[in-house]
Amino acid sequence: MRPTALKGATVFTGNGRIIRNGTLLIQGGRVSRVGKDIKTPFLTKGISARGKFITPGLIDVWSTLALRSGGAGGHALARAEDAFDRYATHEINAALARGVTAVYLPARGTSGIGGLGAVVRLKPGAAPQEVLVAGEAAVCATIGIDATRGPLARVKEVRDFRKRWQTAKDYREAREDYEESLEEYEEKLKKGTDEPGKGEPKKKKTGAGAVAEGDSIDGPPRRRPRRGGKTDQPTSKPSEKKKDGPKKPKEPPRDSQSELLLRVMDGELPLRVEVHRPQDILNVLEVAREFNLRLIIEGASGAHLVADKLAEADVPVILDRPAASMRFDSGPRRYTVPDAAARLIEAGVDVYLGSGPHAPTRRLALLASQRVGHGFDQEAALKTITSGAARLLGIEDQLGTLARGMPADFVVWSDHPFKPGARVEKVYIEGVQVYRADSEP
Amino acid sequence: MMINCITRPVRILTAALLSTAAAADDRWAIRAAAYVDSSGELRKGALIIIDGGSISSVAVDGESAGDLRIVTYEGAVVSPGLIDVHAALGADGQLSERQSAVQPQANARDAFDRYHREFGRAARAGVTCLGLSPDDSNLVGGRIAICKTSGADGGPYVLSDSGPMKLSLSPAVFRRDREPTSRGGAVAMLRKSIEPAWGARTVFVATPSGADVLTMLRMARDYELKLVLMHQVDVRGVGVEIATAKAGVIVGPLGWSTSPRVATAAGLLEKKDVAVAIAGGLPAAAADSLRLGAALAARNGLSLAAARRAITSVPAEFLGVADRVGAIEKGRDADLVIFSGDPLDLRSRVLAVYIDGRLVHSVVDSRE
Repeated sequence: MRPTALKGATVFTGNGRIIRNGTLLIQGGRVSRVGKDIKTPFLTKGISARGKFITPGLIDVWSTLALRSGGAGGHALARAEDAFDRYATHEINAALARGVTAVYLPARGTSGIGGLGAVVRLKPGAAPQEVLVAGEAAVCATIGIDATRGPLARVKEVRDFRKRWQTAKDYREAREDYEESLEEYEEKLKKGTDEPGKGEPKKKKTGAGAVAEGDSIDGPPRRRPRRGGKTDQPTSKPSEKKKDGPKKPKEPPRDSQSELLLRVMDGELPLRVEVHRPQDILNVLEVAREFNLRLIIEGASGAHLVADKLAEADVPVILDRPAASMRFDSGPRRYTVPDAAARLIEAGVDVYLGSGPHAPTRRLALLASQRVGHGFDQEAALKTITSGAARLLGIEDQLGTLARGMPADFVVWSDHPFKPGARVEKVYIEGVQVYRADSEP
Repeated sequence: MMINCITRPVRILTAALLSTAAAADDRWAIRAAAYVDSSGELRKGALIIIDGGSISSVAVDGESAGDLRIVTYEGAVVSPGLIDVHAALGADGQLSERQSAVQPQANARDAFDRYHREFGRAARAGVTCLGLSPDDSNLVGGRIAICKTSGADGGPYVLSDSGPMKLSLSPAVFRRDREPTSRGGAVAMLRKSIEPAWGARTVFVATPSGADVLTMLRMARDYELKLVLMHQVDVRGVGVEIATAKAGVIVGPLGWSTSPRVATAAGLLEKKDVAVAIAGGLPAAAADSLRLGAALAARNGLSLAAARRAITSVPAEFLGVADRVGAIEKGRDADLVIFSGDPLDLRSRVLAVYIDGRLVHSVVDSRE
C-alpha cells in the first residue's frame, strides 16, 4: 500500500507534544513518522491538512456503546466483550463522528461484582479478534448505585463486597491446604505401597475419590439422608475401614469466581468500582487496602471530599458528565460538583474522563472542554482522553499516541478540539478512513 | 482552595470597584475585550455605558468615557444575559392543571415562586431571564410569564405576564380520563377554543411529529397566529414548510445524550432561514445547559453567531420582550454576563452577572 502523508496540520501526539505545521506519515496502517519537515518516500500520497488539527483517536474509558440489553454484568464470570454488538453500526458511527476510536465497556450489575470489562476498537466491518483490544481489562463492581434501595442496603452491599473477597482469600487457603495435604497423602501412599499388599491402597483410592466426587455436581445422584442421619452408614462404613490407612484429603470444589478475584488480589487485573458518596468510597478503599486490590474508582460523586485519601492510596478516578439537572438530587450523585476534576488533581489524584454507565459514547472532547472551564488544565484534559486513557486501560503500547510504529488511529478536526464549533472531519483506524463528516446522514 | 482554582487565570484590574457597582441608579460603564453584538458576532473592544439599570450606549473601546466610573474586565467577553425560552424554574410540576386539557385562562405568573433558590443558581450560570411556561400536558396550557432571575430588590420578578400562549399536540395531552382522546378531537377542541380572543397572537406549540407541524401551520394561517414550534424532533421532513410559513423553532433542550439527528436540527433550520432558539429546560437540566446546548448545536452545523443568538436575542423575540432583553443595545435592560471567553466555549467561565445593571454574581467578590 502506498504511504500517505497528512501535511500542514497541528498534530497533538497524545503524550503532550504539539507539532505545528507538522506532517503525519502513515505506512502499512501504522504511523511511520510524525514531525516537522519530514521527507516523504517516493510515491507518497499527499493530503493537505493545512489549518486542521490531528489528535490520536479518542479513547472513552467508560462507555456502554453497543452493549445489548442494558449491559453485560451481574455475575463475576460475565464478560463485556460477549455483550458488545459490533453490528450496531448506528451507535458506532455516532461515536466515530465524535472522534472516539476505542472504548472500554464495563460488565455491570446492579450491585457487587459485575464481571470482566473489555476494550474494543470501533473498526467497522472488522473481524471480532481485530475489534477486541483487551477481553480482560478489569474486574467491574458497583457499590450503592441503586438509590431506590435505601441506606441499609448499602451497608449490606459493602458487607457482601468484603465477604466476597474474604471468600476468595479463604478459598485460596483451602486450596493450598488441600494441595499440601495431598502431597503428604501421596507421600504416605508411596510409603504404604512399599509395606503391605499392592491391591489395598488402590481400592482405597477409588473409594476416597468417590466421596470427593459425590460433592460435585457431576457425581452420581445420591439419595438424600433421612432426618435420623443413620442412612449415611453405607458411605461412612468404607471410611471406617480406611481408618488405618492414609486418608485422601477432600478437594475443595472449584470456585471460578474466587479464582478470578484472586487474579485481582495478585495484581494481575485492576478492580473498577462504580461508587458514589464519600463514605462509600472510603469503605471501598478500606476493602481494597485489606485485600491488596489495584483499585480504580468510577463515577465518584463526592470524591473531592476524600481526595487526600484517594491520593494517599494512589487510586485513579474516572469522572463522567457533570450533574444533568439542577433539581436537588437525593440519589447517589448528590455530591457531584462541576470542578471535581480540578479539585482531585490539586490533591494529587489521577483523573480520567468517560461517558459513564448510562450512555453510549458521548461527546468526549466537549466533555473535556467543559472540565477545562472548571479548572482542569487543557493539555492534561486532552491527554486524559488519549494517551492517559490508554495507560489507564493498560493498552498504551497499542493505542493513544501518535508515534513511530503505533497504529494509525487518529482524528482530523476542523479546529482545536476544545474550541466552539470544532468538528470531526475524518477518522482513521489503522490508516484506513472510517468516517467522513459529510458522509453523515 | 476551590475558589482559587476557579479564578486563578482571571485578571481583573478594578476588582475593588465591583462591590460598589451594585447601585443601579448611577451612570457607569463596563469595559471588556469584546462583546456579543445583536447579530451574535463577537465584536472586539467593548465600552458599555449603563444608566439607571439599562444600557445607555455601546461605544467602541478607546473612546473617551468622560469621568465615568469604569469597571474593567480584561480579556473578557460581555454577552447579553442568557434567556431560557421555555423553563419551569421554581415551579416544576406546578404549571399545568391536569383536570382539563384547555386552560387559556391559566397564567404561569400565578405559579411563580420568587423565593425559590433555583433562580439564584440559574442567575449564577448566566441565565438572567426565562419564559416560565406550562408543560406539554395540556392542549391549551396557558399564558407564559417572562421572569428575571433577579431584580432591583435582589429577588426574581415577573417582567411580563402576557407572554405567548402555550399549546401542545404532544402524546402527553391524550389521557384516558378527559378529552381529547384523538388527534382529530384535539384539533377540533383547539379550533373551538382559539375563537375567543386570547389576547396572545404568539403561540408556542409542542409538535412532536411532522403531521402536528402541518396541522399547526394550517391553523396559524386560519387564525393569523405567530407560530413557534417546539419539542419537534423531526425537522428534516417539514423544514421547507416551516420556512415558508416563517414559523420560529425552539430546539432542545440539548444534552450529553442528545442524538446526532436532534443535534443537527438547528443547523439544518438555519440553512433554511428559520429563526432558532435553543431551550435550556431548567430546572430539569443543569443550570449551564443553555450554553451546552448552543455549543452542541455549533458543533453540529449551526453557525457560531446563530448559536449565540439562539440563547439570547431569538428567545427574547419569541417571548415578545425583545425591546427589553436579549441584546446589548441602547435602551435595553443592562442584563449582562461577563465570560472569560466566548460564551459558546465551554472552557469559558462566568466571571460576573449583572441584571438591571445590578451585580448579582461575581467570582471576584468571593476571592476578596
